[in-house]
Amino acid sequence: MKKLAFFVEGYSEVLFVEKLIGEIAEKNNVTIERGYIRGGKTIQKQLTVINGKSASSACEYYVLILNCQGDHQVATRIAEEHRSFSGMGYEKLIGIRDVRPTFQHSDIPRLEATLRKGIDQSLIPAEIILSIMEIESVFLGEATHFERIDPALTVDVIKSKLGFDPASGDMELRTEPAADLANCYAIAGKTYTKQLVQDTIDVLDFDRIYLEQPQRFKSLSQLVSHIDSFLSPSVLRVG
Amino acid sequence: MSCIRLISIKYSERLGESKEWVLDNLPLSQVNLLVGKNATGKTRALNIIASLAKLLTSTPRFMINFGSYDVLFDDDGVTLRYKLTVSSGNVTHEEYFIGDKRVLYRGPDGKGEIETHMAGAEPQMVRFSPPQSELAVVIRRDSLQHPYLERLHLWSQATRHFTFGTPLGRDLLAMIIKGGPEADDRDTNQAVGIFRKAQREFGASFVDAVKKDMTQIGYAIDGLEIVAPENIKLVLPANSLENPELSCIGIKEEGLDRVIDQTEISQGMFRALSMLIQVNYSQMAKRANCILIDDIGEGLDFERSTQLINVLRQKASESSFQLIMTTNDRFVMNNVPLNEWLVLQRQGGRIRVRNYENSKTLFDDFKFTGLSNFSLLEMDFLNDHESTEIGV
Repeated sequence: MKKLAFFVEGYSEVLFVEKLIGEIAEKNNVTIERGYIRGGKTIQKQLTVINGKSASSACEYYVLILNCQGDHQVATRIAEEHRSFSGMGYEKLIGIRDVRPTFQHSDIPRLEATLRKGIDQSLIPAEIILSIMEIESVFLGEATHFERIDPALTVDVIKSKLGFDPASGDMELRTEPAADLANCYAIAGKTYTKQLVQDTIDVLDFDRIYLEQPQRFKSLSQLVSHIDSFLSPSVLRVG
Repeated sequence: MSCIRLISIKYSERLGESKEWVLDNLPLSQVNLLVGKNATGKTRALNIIASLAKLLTSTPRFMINFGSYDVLFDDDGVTLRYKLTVSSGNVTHEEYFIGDKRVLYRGPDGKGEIETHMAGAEPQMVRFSPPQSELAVVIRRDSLQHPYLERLHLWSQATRHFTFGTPLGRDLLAMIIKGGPEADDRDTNQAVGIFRKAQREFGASFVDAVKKDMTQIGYAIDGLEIVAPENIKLVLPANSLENPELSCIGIKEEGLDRVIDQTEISQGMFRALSMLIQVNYSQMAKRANCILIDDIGEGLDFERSTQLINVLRQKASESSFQLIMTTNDRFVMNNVPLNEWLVLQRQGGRIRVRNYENSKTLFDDFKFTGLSNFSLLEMDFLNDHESTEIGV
């Protein structure tokens, strides 16, 4: 059984990654479980798996998505768990965190260059993917979903009311994508909050996200590439 | 209220001996968190500051056997420098500068000169020979002849030292005696007396402030008062003329209909309560401008230690007092910005201090690893990446 673990900063990322893997895997025999890590002081640190479709021996691929509950916790939890996950047979750890609110757009090159400094290179590979500036930039970019939130939310309406084009503009240049998403929904009297993220995930077109959007989003391209690579059958190379 | 504030402190003792201990230079700003691995000298560094405050206090008189201080203070924009060396209980060097001007000097024999102000004349340096077992800045205190010594005295009087891992007065009840002495608000164990004094001076506004702070750190209380302990009785001799009342602090937690006294309050909750009583009183009475807290957050859970730190940092910023804390607690570290950190590193008996000012590149680099603050210490980041730092 191949095993992959995601360490993500919040609930939005948990839902998004879970759905994306489900869509990419299609008929592959994948078990996906969610969990969270919290505590570490008076409350003992807990790593809890919560939706418990326990991986059977027949399962070919197993993915664990852990909510680290905070952007600054992603790298820290990877550093803390790296050795034990290496020992448990995982082939890779992938962290996903937003750039904002801790960092600015101008910080991205330095962040990309420095994020790996806390990772122990002697263990299994661990990567941290930066959502620029937030994961909601990808939701904005999948602009066909707006009309599934409300038929009145066409790209033209958004362009005229808010002055940007989610379908063709560079959404990684938006400084506050979650606020943009909320503003878009507000045109039709709808709301977007981190608590209502499931409503958005449900109407995103994951075929487009998998096949088209990686060209627009570096973070999505990295994520899809990791998942593709994980789900590809191992190839025996002979010399 | 004194606005005098510590800028830095250097300390050494037993130089050249096997027990040599040197604190290279501890630079201090308004809010400071001393961190370091176990046994790097965090508590000792705090004790050095507390001892200095005791040395500079005239009552009760306090003296050390050995030790050498070099301390800078900021006094409303003027730099004060105080240097002291004590060997075998005798002062062998003492110097005090206001800006660049030396106003006091004593040499190895304890003799020296001191600036003296006389009515109608320019201040002049006068030779003097105080007892070598005493600090000149303490025994020559005189607001007319040496007015500048008052500044050090004020700082010493306004310094409070809390050891958060101790009961902070939970196991001390108060006996109320008519005409008895006032509570000493420099003694952090006198929580009951200090609460009574504060309640008398500031009434409901004081009690409300403490209740608000307690609620903010997750101990919601809607009652706070002096009560008689429920389960302790004072046994007096039959012929006693006195009939003192035994008192302690009682709280009523939200949602409960009874008051519980301090003997029933949990250790962690009472520590937080005692400290907030004392810090609020210091703030309202303008009685403290340097608060030292050893092992802040000890015994509290994640949410409460985090909130306690937030409350204290906010108070320091509102009231401009200097806050100097030590911790081993990862959640405290994660909640205090790195620019308030002082990382203590020990090599033998020498303690080196790294902070944002003297290791800026490393601290900035660390921020971009995306790791939580605690990892800076845990991963030994400052040492592992030292070669990249320029000028350290």
